[in-house]
Amino acid sequence: MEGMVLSLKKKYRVAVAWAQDTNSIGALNKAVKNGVIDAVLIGNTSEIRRTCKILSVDENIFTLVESENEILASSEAVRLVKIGEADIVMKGLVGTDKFLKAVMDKENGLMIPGSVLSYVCAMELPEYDKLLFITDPAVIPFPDLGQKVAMARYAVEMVHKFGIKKPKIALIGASEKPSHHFRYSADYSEMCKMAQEGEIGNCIMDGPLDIFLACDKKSIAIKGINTPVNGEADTALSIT
Amino acid sequence: MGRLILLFPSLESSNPFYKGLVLFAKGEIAGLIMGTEKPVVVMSRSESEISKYFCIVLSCLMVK
Repeated sequence: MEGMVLSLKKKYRVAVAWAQDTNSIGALNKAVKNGVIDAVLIGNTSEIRRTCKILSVDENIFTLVESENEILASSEAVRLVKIGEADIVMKGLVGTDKFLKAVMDKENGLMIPGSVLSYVCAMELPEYDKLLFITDPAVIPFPDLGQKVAMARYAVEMVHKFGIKKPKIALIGASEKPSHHFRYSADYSEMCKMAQEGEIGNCIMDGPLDIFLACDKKSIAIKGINTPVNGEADTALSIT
Repeated sequence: MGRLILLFPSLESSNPFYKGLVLFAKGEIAGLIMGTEKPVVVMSRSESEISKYFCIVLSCLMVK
């Protein structure tokens, strides 16, 4: 994932809500020092200065904004992004519910009307040769068809940013056999049709697949199952 | 390095999957909320410094 930095073309400004904890300040320090971002730290500024001192981080590399509490700090961070003073909003030591309340505020928040809110995460494993993008491990408990389609589109959009023109998506299940016992089966079959018709974006989709068929080439050979998701062609499709 | 998207049928399956990999297979993660006007970085408060750093870099990639 270190390689992501090389794809960045310009420096962005990050507004951080209640940015007082050591992990946030440590990570922001690394990002500012590497020339990736500028950061506005909103919170209890004397506390922020104290944390900087403990970590031997130069507080002058950040812009500090005083705020009374975590709720006000969250809405201020969102406001800075809303008015274009910052490009990215980040949660510091504030609770997720309070932070997201500011993000999702109908008038002053950052929601796109009608859009699905979802979470995509990238994972790098020391013993696996692919970067895995997992969706959705955090926001939508039981996605319906429309939400699954949105999740797929977001993940495809993210992988495109990594320079892959035609990403592969495995729709994960307990087995490759569709079954009425598994509620995902109907959605998955609909999604594969949509993908073939180009409705999900430029991607190769297959499912249901279990984790082995999706991620392990040897299993494909053993089971004799043919899936376009896993195979030698993967990296050849990438432009990086 | 190749890339592969795994779409899970529910949070009940995806969440233990990724946490299992972080704990037992030393996975490094970077995640992002999608569907907003601008990137929103939300991590668990206990997330490591390096994971938070990767999240910040990922969010920069996603600025429209």
